[in-house]
Amino acid sequence: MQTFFNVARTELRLIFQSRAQLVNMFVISPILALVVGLGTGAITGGFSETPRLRVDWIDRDQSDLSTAFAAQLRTANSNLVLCPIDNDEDDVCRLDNRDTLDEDLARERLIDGDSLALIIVPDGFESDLLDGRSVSVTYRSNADLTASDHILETVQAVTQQISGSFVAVAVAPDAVESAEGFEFPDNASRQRYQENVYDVATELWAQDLVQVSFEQTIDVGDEDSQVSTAQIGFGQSIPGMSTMYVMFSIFPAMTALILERENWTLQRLVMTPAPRWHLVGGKIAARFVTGMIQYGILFGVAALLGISFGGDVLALVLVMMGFVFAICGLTLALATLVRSEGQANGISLLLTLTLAPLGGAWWPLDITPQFMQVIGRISPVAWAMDAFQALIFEQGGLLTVLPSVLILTAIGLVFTIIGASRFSYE
Amino acid sequence: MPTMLEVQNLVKEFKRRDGDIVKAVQGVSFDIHEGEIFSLLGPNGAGKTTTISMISGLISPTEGDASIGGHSITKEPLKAKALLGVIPQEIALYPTLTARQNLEFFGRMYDITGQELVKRVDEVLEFIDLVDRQNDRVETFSGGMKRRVNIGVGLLHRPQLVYMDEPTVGVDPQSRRRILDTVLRLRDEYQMAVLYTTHLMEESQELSDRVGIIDHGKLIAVGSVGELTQQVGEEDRLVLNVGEQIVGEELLGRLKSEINGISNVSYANLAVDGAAAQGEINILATRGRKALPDVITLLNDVWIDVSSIEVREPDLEAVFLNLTGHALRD
Ligand SMILES: Nc1ncnc2c1ncn2[C@@H]1O[C@H](COP(=O)(O)OP(=O)(O)O)[C@@H](O)[C@H]1O
Ligand SMILES: [Mg+2]
Repeated sequence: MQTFFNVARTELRLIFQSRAQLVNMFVISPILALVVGLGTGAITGGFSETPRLRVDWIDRDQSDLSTAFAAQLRTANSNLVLCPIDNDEDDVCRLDNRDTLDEDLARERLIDGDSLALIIVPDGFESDLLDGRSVSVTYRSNADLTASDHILETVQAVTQQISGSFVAVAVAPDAVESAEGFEFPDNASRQRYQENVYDVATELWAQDLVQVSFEQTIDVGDEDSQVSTAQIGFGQSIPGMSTMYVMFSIFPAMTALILERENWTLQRLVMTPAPRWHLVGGKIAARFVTGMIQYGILFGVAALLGISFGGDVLALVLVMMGFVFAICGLTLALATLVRSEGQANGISLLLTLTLAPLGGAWWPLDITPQFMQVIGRISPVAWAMDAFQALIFEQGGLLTVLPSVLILTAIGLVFTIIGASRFSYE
Repeated sequence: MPTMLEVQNLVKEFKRRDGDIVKAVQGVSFDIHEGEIFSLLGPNGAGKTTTISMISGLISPTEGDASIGGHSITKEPLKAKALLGVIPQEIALYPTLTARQNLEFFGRMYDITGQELVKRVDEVLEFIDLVDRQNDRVETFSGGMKRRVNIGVGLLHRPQLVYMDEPTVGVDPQSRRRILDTVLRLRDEYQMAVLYTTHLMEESQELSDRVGIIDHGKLIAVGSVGELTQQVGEEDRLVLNVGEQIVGEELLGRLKSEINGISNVSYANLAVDGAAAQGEINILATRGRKALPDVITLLNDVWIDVSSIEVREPDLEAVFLNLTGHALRD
């Protein structure tokens, strides 16, 4: 293993000796990401439709009052989409043709980031309210309860209105009953009666008839639906540009192998008593580390600017590792095919500049035509960008990005095996 | 003496792009004993580098095998490689690393680490006389200095056998002398066996305990310099410089048939591509001095001017000419 680490360490030294490499990594890539981030933030932030906040809605009461509750919620926040009742032809709810929801599915959707919150209206909502008993509506979200939560605020506002109006409803029949066959003898007694009603009302008010009980599913940090344009722009540009620069820093390894052959250092390495895989593996490991450093630089800069990348750091790092590995494998496979430095340079530039936009590194794939979104899937960049988007904008976690990570790892493995089996000096 | 390297019937065929098969090495066998300098002498393209590349595990033989210290290069390649010091024809160094960094890097590839590595690198730097430039990048070195680092890298793990592939090509006379002395020191001070390739008969003659003569992928003679020159017998070699005049096959044939005692005649143009011809006629003859007047007469008859004449005692050049019918240098 000592020879493996020796190869890897020296390769890193050679990579970081190059001034061009350092400038690209530490200066140009952050500047580009910032400029592009400011640009896309202004564009997508300014022109895109208002964000739609998916909230799952399970109505066990199916009463006039629960329907009114839903209507009140929509009025209070026009961005809310109650799923499944508000679903449209484009399946904005992401329900895949289902028109009902049960609690288990809803919980899964929460974890996957398909919905931002879940509201359950219990059976007996209407009758309990009419009888003046307190009612408990369940509210569930991924968001940290201490953080400001736009949706939660809406729900709280509506429940207060409902409580307010039902205090009046509950109190009024009492007043009528006591008034039956009864005339107020004078204004004073009318006054007393009104005071009485007021007392009952405030008493009931204090009971806060509709209560929302909070439950937290998983802690994923802030869910700020009032996303700033900076967050929108950098949330796209930082993963996008860093993913492109990861390719810029790994693909040239193809050239490095050709140069080493010309330098005869590759031949000298092959003649040392180190196993072949230490040579290949060591060089790949060095490029892998380089790729991760490139990601680290751009995400680090963005973190300093206060951009949020979701709460799941482990998931974020796994996505990066998956992508870097896929590109390392691809580079190895290509290195066994290219014949000259010029060819290698051409291929790395061409690949970077097609795979990046194709996979959504320059602009979100969501804004491209449907066929582009499908074609884009041939680019490993698309799988990485999907996963980054899920983590940054949709509160996804490890489970959400796992498929992307697995696909990237598989791409990396396949190419590594092809490359390693083709790698021989002759 | 125990055998350090045993080469058995090595064959290498290359497939060219157009499908043709190049038989670069066609069944080469020889041994190298511990602590001896063995040189492989042959013209460019004879198959020296290809033979060495197979021995060092860079390319795999089409047929045959070789073993270093008893370890087969095909069956136990890593063990065989560990015993071999590698000094390729090209400068095989990282230009942007310093001399010391290059030595340390390749030293670690032979599993030398820690204090031992520091010690060995210091020793080698001393040996190649580059202690004062050890922290300069190799790319800033002169050709001769690079050669020395290239040699040093091959010696770090104190191999019992080193190969040196034409280490004096493109080197100024002073550096070349230094390299030849180094080769002798490796044998005399460090008891290393050296496999030395060259197309220069003088180097072979000076250095070698034994010589293998190789041409067109075949080893045509093996032995000490004395044994080999004896094969040519008493024949002298006449070297006639004819300048820009081109000499044809017909005249060479006449020289051989019309003058007594001549066993072999060849013509070589030593000029580099494009320059004016620099013809040289090589003649092998018993009692060469006696044949000389007849040779001059015949050349005068056909209007060939001879600008200089040299009579040489039997040497490896003569052996080569005798065995192959052509000069080593063409
Ligand atoms: N990789 C290769 N592919 C095709 N032919 C080769 C290759 N390497 C060497 N040769 C041919 O094999 C012959 C021997 O070459 P080489 O061993 O380099 O000669 P030397 O070292 O004695 O000058 C030459 O004719 C050369 O053109
Ligand atoms: Mg050669």
